[in-house]
Amino acid sequence: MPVMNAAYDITQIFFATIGAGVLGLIIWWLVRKRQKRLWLPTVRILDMERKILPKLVFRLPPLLAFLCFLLAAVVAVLFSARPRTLVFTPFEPNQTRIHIFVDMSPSVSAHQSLDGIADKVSVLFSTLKISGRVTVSTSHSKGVSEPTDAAQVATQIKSLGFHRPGLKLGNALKEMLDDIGDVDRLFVISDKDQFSWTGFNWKYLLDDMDVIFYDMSDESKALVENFYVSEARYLSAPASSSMDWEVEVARHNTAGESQGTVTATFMGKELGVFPWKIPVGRQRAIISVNWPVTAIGESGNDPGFADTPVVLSLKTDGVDLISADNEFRVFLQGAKKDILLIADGNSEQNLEDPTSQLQIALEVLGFKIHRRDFIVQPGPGASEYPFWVIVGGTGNGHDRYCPTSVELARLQYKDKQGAKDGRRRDMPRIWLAPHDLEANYPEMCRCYVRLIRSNDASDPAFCAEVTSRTHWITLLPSLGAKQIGGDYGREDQAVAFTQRDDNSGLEVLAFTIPLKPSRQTGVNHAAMPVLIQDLLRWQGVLETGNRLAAHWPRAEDIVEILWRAANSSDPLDLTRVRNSNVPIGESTIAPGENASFPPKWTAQANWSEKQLASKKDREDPLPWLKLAAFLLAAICLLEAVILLIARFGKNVFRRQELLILLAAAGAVLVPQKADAGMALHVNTSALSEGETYETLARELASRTSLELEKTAKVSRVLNKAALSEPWLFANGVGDLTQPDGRLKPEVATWIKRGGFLVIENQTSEQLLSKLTEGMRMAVQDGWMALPPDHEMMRSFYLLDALPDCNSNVWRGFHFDGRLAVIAVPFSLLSVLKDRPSPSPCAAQPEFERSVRVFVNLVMVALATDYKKDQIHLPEILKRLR
Amino acid sequence: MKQNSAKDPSTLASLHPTQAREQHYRSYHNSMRMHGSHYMALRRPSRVPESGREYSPGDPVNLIDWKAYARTDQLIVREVRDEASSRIVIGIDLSETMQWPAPDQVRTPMPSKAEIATRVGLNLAHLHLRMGDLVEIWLFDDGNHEKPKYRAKPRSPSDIVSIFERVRSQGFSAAEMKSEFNEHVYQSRKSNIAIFIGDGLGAADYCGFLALGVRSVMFHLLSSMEIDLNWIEDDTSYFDEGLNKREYQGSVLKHGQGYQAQLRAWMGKIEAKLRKQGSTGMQITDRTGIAAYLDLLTQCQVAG
Repeated sequence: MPVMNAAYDITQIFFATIGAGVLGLIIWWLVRKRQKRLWLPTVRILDMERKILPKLVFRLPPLLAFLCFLLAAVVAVLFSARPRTLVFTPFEPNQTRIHIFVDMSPSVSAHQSLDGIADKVSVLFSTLKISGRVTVSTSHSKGVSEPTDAAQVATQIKSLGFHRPGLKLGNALKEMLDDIGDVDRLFVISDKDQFSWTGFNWKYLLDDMDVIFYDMSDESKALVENFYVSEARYLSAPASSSMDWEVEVARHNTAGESQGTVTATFMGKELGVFPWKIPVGRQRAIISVNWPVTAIGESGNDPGFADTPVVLSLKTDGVDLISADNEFRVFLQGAKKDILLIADGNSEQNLEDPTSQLQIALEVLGFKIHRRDFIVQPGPGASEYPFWVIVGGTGNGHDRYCPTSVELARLQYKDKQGAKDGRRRDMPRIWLAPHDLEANYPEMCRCYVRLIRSNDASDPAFCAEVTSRTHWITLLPSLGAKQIGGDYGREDQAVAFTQRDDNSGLEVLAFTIPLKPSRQTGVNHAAMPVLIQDLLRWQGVLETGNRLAAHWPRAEDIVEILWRAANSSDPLDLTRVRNSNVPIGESTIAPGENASFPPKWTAQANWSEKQLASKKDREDPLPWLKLAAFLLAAICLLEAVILLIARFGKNVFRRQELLILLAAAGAVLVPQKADAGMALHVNTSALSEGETYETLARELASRTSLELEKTAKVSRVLNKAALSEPWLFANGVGDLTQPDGRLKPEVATWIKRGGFLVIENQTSEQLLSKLTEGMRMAVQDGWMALPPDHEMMRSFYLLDALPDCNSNVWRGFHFDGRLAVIAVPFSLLSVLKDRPSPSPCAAQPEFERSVRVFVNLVMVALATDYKKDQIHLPEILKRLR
Repeated sequence: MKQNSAKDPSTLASLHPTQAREQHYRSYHNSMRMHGSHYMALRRPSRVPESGREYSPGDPVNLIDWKAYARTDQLIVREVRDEASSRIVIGIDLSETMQWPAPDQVRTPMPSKAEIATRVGLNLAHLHLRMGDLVEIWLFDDGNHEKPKYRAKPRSPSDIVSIFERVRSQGFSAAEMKSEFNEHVYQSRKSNIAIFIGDGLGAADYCGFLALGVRSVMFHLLSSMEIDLNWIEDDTSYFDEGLNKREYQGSVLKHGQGYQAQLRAWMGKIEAKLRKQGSTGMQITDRTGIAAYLDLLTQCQVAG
């Protein structure tokens, strides 16, 4: 047990446990004095004062139970001191994980340019690369990359650029760390922006890793202003002839007067330039931005314009820190949509025009009406107007108002798959309404079928039977239309029926009532516009057409909006989010408190060596837990043995104390466990006795399960003691050879029996060959320079080469299929001892490399080439698979 | 009382049922005794002949003894005394406290109170049976019951002797005693003489038992070890687990004056209680001499 290496905490609990233990021990010995008791009947008539306190004496307690309590008390006292062993974990570059997280939020762009941050990150990468495996990720996405060089890092950052959505570091790192697993060091490259750091409790990460903050803040820019558009509100009514907006311009400081302009553009066309001025001491200014509806022009009808924002670009006469927040996007609002109204007016008088109220309602809702009394077939193109209202059933034939162009356009998509993204393929929405309750419903039927149902130009025969409104109402659901309005199951109460052609996206809403106020239908003048408005809203004609809300997104946290939704969102939505307005928190550039940030990284040249310790101590309570388990088992075993003997050996063993003594004596007489430590036996005059290899022993113990004795056994001459060891280090061949240069017979026998010889400082190939003359058994036996694929290169560590010395290489002698003798061109032990001596080699061997070579050497000496062992074959094959 | 050994033949520990004092007839008649016939008149020396009494107005004139008148000038009426058997009820307490001291509780074997009570009770029964009285013996065997549960009605003195011999052969065990008796529901019936033998420590209602007798006597029986505490060891604890559990150190009992005083006070209370209801109380122990016991029999006061 490494008691010397243990750490203890002597606290109040320790002393309290001692006190409780001592008290318990005393109680074990303290008993009430047993008294003889006799019955005396006349005592019952007495009423005298009694002695209350019993007499207490010290008596010998029951041995077994007392011993168990004593052991338990000792264990409890020991554990109250929280014993733990310090375990050294060596530094392993291949196994040390370093991750660099780069914050590319808009606030960082206030302090560093894109090139600047790319350069800084690449320099950091270069510095850290030698310290371990370095991975890099940015706030753009969850993805983690492992660049091979710094240039790759810089390229990656420059290609991504700063993003417009904000960033919450806490969310981002949590998401990322869940995916990448264990990290030893985390570098967070960011500014001190409070908006990003709020809610990030980096201290909870310290249990698992080191967190270092690479501060990108530029203090020199503290007084520089940042201007941004904080809000834009649409003010105009739907029927207004101009689009009026109220735009708020803000800045994050209040010093000085600032001015500039706001330019509104839409689809590349400039709508207007509007000046703004923020007086001294103020942070905001509200300006009016407006342009006539006609400035939007025909582009307002383009179905794609609903997804195109109006861009308000802010310019300032002074310096502006963040450029991303100078662009503010809003959805276009107030653009009038075109509606084609095909209705045969009965006369010039409005009162007799069945569509006059409908027109008024549509105009109030902001539509531009194109009125036609009748059409000439095939009629306007299907994509010419986004919205058609056809008032039919006049009795003059449905060709006057029912266009074949729509039918033809629909049939174009007949064999194609339906629009899976729900977007119409330039097909209009059509309302088909009777001009009166007593309309010509066969005409209505034919028109309906032409629009939505027909596969050819033939006249549907069943329409002749639709002679009344009731038939009309019954027909529509039978053709697959869905009821709009009224109670479920009460089709007679329906206002309309809707049907959509999935292939083309054409929607037809067939009304059962005329679209005009009527006492018969119950739709009055007040209800008429509301009905129209509700229907238009339901169809989505009144909205801008996207589901992301009327406001252009302003993403506070890119993690929420892009990281988590990346797989599920509509590509259009993702694009919109990437172009989101910069959140106000990023624009205000409010720095956090210095104390709330992790330790800062400093760009010193030898930082990585200094900061990254070669050993990392950790507390290991495991040995003490093992001790407690051992004691518990020992106590139980002792009790079981004693009880058994007490039960079956009563006549032989009458005293429990004797049993305890016998058990203890038995433990002493048990043969001692053999020493499992390895010893370095050195046959040389070059090393003095008492040379220690403590560092080497510790490294070996921490990396492998081998324990090396700290002091080498040195013998000046070859003797029995030396040849009783399994391996031997010799400095040169002097003492090992006979006069003819061959190995001494006892050494040769020792090698044949499995000994492993390491000859240091020996380079002569001739001498080595002479050494082992006559020892070859198999064809492959003999001396050879150790090739790169030799088992020495891969027995534990993967080595690309063994350290040579003045171009002299390592040579090995194979005997009976195993490496039996190895010749090292320099003194490996001199490098590995606690006080290393310089070697004559041109390039001094590094300690770490030498340790690895030594470990490999030990493994070869102990286990040879395990791959050649048949017993390992199934495991090897399993791994290969 | 003389301190005699446990089995001193002169003490009650050796009392046999047949042991009785033989008296001259005259002294027998004249003695104040409780055994014998039921009628005992307190006679003062007088010149009135035996079997006569002074004339009381209303007595039959033909019974006047004219010859005695001629001699004495006193009107004497001749009276023939009819002698009838007395009904004697003897109660023996064999409850738990009466079994003390048990052989395992004392160094030298001492007769238990139950043995002494049995001896005395059978002795009294024998005496009365010799006189021709009707004798009932009741046993109180349970310390929790106030009334006796076992009864025997021996017909002749030889029955008593037989019972005694059997009981003695079994060491005066309560079980053997009970086996000689029959379980019987106690009925409160008047008797001429009621005798109770017990220590008064159990639940036996001796006052109620004695109240049924025209004349009644309680033999308050305690062990000599309960009175004389010289045998007590200072370090030993003495207890009783009756109604109120008590335990005292021997040194407290032995060396303090409290025990003797409280014992005497308790005994006095019992005596006063008996006196109040007209009963007579007599203190006996296992060391009471037989002669003294027999003297008690002849000297005890008779109420009413």
